[in-house]
Amino acid sequence: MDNDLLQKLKAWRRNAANLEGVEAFQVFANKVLENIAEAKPSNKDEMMTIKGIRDRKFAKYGEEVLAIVNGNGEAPKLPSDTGQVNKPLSVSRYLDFLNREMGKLQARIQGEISSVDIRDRVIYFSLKDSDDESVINCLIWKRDYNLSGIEFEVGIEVILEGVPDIYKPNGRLSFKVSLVELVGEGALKKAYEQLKKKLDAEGLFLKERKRAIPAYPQKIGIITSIQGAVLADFLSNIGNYGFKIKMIDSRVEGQTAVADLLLVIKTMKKKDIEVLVIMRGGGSFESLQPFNNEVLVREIANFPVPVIAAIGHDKDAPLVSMVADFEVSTPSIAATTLSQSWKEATLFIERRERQIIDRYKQYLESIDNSINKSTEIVKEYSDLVINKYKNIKNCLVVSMQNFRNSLINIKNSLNLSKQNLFVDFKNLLMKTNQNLRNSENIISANNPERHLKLGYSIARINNKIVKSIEGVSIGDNMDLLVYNGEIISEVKNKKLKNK
Amino acid sequence: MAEDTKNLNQNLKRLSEITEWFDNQEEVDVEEGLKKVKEAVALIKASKSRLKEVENEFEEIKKEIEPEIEE
Repeated sequence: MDNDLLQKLKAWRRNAANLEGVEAFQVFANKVLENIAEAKPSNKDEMMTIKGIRDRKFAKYGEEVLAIVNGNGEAPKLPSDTGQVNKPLSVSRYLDFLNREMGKLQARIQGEISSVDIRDRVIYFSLKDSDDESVINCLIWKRDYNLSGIEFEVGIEVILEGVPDIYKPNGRLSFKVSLVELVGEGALKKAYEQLKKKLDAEGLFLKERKRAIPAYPQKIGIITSIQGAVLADFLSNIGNYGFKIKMIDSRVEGQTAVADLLLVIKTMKKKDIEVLVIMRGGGSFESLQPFNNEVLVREIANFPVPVIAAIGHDKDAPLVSMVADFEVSTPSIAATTLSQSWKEATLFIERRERQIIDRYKQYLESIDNSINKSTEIVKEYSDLVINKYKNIKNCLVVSMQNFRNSLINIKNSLNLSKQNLFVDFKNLLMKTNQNLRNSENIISANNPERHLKLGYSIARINNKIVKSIEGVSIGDNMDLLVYNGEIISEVKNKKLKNK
Repeated sequence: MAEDTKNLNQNLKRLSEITEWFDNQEEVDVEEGLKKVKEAVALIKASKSRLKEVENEFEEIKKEIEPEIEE
């Protein structure tokens, strides 16, 4: 596909759409332009074979498109009606030709707005040369005007970007403006302060409006310029947590950046993301102007998911940063903001793990303790009962034993008594016997007869037994009793035994 | 929201709830506690595995110049 040609066709389409006040796709869809750039039709027949081009479209745009395709890189050529070289052009076709050629004469001009006429779809105004008072008529489509974020009033100095164009119904030449920017830092600053005040009054900067950056974000949209260190800075700080990063390259400087950023945001809106990061390296107040654009600021304020703005700035924060849900100063901080919850999650989990396990351990310990305590108490009580029982049992045993002993004692003593009695009696008998025998013996031993037989005799005087010599007188008759009779004798002498 | 992010979010939330449950228990219910501990251990395991290093995916998307509408 011829990319140059495609870009030319797109520039032409934008122009044509503006002229008609319609959306670009209503002129030709992208696909159709791509088909044209691919097929490069050189005549009507070839062009009619392209999908999406029918009679009506060809009648309206066919010639212009063919001119672009054929005139690609060639000098402008006046259109001519087929075959008839000398036939004059119609006014309309000549103006079409002029507009087409002038469409290539894009310019940037600076001057002071000297009149303004704001209509429904278009703003007519004039730009006056600050030196010699030359004037050029200008127009800007309402859409581009709104996009510029600048409020036109007589006397302000602006730079316009656009192409010359003749309005066919009245032949009037106007500078058709696509971009406007304010001139001078003072004017920029004033516009900035005004818009800031206005948005502030609407409450767009309120803290309550700010949405929290989601925890554990995964799908991240990035809008930044692919040139420069911003993206690399961001990516090297985000950490590996399985982020799914969708990035769209955008211009971030100069007035064209606004339109680019708006398109990118429009595309990003359709993407499945959880958070949007809009980044730009640091710059002067002037170079950050796109980020003070009202339309862009409102788009950021209404973006469906939370927005982080990382736009480097000095004193005055860009309004986009102020309206964003979270503002940081550098891409690396934006990155760490997004990965922070992931990093913290690890600590969080470890802390929770400890808390839960510790707490459960405490549970178990406290239960263990109370079981032990209960066991002790039960044991104490049961010991008490068992001891009492043991005591009672012991007492009983002792009592029984005592009782038994008593019985045995009684029995023994009874037995003993019986035995003693018997023995005593026996002894008594024996003793009596003995006594008797002794008596007998004594009696027998003492029987005088026995003595008489042994030779002893009993002497008597006057029937008195003589035991000693006293009382015995010589001449006494003494009777001697012997074993077998009596001897009558007379005492002749007596003498004492010599001692 | 991505599935595993949602899960991680829910897991961490649930862990907080369990911790809170333990903190608020006056009477100790060991059975219930054991259930919660088991649940927590599973959540912790799952969450930790999600937090291991996972390579990021990077995709550059082209902006849509104009809305893609066919005639």
